[in-house]
Amino acid sequence: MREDKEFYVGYFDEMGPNTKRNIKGFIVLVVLIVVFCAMVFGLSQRPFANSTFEFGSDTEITGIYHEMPYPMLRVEVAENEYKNIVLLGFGKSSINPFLKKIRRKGTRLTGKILTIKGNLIYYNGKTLIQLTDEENVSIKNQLFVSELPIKDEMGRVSFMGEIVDPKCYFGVMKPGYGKIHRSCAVRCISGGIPPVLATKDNEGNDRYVLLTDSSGNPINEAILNYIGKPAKVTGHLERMEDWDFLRLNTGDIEVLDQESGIYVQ
Amino acid sequence: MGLDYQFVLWNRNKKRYDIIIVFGMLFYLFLFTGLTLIFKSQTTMETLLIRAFGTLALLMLHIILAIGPLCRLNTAFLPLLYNRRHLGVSMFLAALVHGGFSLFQFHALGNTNPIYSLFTSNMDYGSLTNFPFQVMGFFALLILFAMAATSHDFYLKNLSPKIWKGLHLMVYIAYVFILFHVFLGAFQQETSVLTVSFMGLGFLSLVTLHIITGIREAGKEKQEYEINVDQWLKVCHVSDIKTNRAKICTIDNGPVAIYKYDGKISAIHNTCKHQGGPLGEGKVIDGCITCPWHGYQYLPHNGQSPPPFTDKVQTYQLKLEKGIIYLNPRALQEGTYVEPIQIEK
Amino acid sequence: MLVLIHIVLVILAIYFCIGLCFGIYFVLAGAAKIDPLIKESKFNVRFLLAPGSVATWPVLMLRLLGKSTGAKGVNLIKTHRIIWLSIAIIVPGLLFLSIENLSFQNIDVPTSDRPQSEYEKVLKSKENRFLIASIVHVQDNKMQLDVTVKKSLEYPTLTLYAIGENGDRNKLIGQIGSKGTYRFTIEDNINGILLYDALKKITVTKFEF
Repeated sequence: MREDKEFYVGYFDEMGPNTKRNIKGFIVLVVLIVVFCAMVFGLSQRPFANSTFEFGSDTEITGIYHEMPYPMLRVEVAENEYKNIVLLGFGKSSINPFLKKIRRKGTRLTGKILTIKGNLIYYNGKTLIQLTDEENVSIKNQLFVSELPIKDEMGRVSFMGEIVDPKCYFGVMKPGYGKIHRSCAVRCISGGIPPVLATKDNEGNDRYVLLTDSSGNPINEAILNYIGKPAKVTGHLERMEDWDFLRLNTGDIEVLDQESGIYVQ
Repeated sequence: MGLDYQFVLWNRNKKRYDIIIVFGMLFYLFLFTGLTLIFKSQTTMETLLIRAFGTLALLMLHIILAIGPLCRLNTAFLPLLYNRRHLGVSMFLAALVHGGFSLFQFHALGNTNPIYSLFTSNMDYGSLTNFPFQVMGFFALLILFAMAATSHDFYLKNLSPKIWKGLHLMVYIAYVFILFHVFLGAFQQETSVLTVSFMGLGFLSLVTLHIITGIREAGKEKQEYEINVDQWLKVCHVSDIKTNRAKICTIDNGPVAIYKYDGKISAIHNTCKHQGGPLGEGKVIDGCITCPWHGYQYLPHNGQSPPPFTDKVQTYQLKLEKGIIYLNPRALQEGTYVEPIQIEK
Repeated sequence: MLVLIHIVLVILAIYFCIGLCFGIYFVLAGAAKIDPLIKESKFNVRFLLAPGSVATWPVLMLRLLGKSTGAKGVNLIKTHRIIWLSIAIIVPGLLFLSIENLSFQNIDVPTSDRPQSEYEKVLKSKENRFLIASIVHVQDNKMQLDVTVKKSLEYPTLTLYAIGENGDRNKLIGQIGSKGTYRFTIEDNINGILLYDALKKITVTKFEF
């Protein structure tokens, strides 16, 4: 210890040359760490899905309304070719609160042609739409019950996959699956958004299955414990045009002790 | 303590310090955002913000936790300590942006209160890997809030340094919570050897730094002194102390700083009233013992801060026989005048 | 567990509600009562102090009631050492347990195979960055169009058409959904295909064989 050892006092302006050198060295080191850290954290992020949420831009879709059991619009995309677009509400909510307001006026909806203006959500062949105001729904009064889609029984099957909320998964959030997103998916499904099982078939193709209870009614609260975890789900499969449905008992869902998100990323 | 309180007691060094903080933070955010937008362009704005600010807060926390032991190991790092407070508040703000956006993104616009949702949407409290990691982030943020909100000399004085220091020691609890928040959250899904080892390295460096410092400090404490007939302790030869500097000797009552200045010696309690800085590692400047941490000053002969300041520390009596310094281990009341011992030529 | 969560949340809520009320009082009067120096300070300082009073109101309340909160100097070197030793002992094991089951390789996302070549004869095949398309002979002189979508396409309502002689949309073949392989039975030979989005009303890609 030398007698003239530097002594730094914060409220004096001067800093000894030795101290200055040290601090400069520290700052350079921190800058290097900052650069390295940004690279490590920035570049190691898993790739994001190329899903789309057209927030702030409205699209009008027209089709026949049905709920089997989840509200959808059967939209003709080519002559006699239909796509069923899932209807969603604002935020972490189903479209039901808006539909309730419309029904309160005494309007029956199933089988009628609706035009809905909202924000499209789409990814990998599935399309949904977010409605933000019931004023954006216009109804034609004619009934087209004969044009409602039909469900075909496909038998009892098991899938390994992850239960996700379709709103986030198909576009609103990235990643919209896995552990980080689990609590949001719970909120969404608890808010009435239909649960979807994201899985892959034997050929490795992505497959999305809407889940219902064993009698084909909406399932929400009962399934919350199984969301966002790798799980084996067993039930009766039904096909309705471009969507599959699975009728299940929550007792038949087996949570697998596997890594978060492995079936969906 | 001063005559009044200022919003921030600015001086040139603090301003420099803060400019570096702000530019450092912006630089990180810019880099992270840029790299993500170039290489992971499909990200969403919310995810980008959450991740940028979350990792920024994590990085800053590591730097903050390294400053303490670095300063104990090498006094040339002391300028980093001087305004660590502003670094801490900035880190809290970064963490708040991360937490706030996450709370909104994952829990707002739903069918229940977002905070309630944070605690109840994932109920796997019994599992390790499925554990609701957001709860740990929430509590860490609460601790950081309490710390940031009391980062002012008013609180240091009025909560009492003991409670204030205790509150700020909770940063270690916050750090552990944050570690698990990351390991049980992001790492469960965004698994990457690089990030996990990077965090592990950070943890390892901090633990090593702190433990080395701890061992060195422990070495300083272990001192036994010859006791002469009057219960006075034999400390050292007067020539062992450099002019304007001190020797610290640790007795039952705690460490004592024995200062040599102006051809005299005086002894005061070693612990600064401000934040517990080691006065014996300070220097006599303008006739005042100056604390190495934040420059708080005391007069050597009575342990009082020069007017208008009002802080006082305990003083001790000294004796000089044949160049050997003896210390009376009985502390005198804070601020008691003790005639300095003249060193015979 | 839910009961415990409710208790914690209620305590937190009560703590912060009292803190907020106390904070208002503190800014207006309390701060100056505890520490007369506040009176000499600018008023904006009190606003800076407000969040702290919300966080630490019990201690400040004690101060207001005249109780000492202990003003002795502090020396926490030992405490730091104990804390870091405990962290060093307890934390690494738990961190290890939390990640030991993770697989650190990037999980291979299975890519869909090209159309299986178990057919009699591939008549035509073509590929671009979106699609692989082949026309194959299957049994009974029937023809099949195999289309593999290579990646998820960013369109909401994709439909596949055969192109006519002048390269426009001629005859609908079917809908295209997720990435993967689609097999369509076709009656006539086709010149090329066109991927069209019905809602966006745009042609995504097209090619002739």
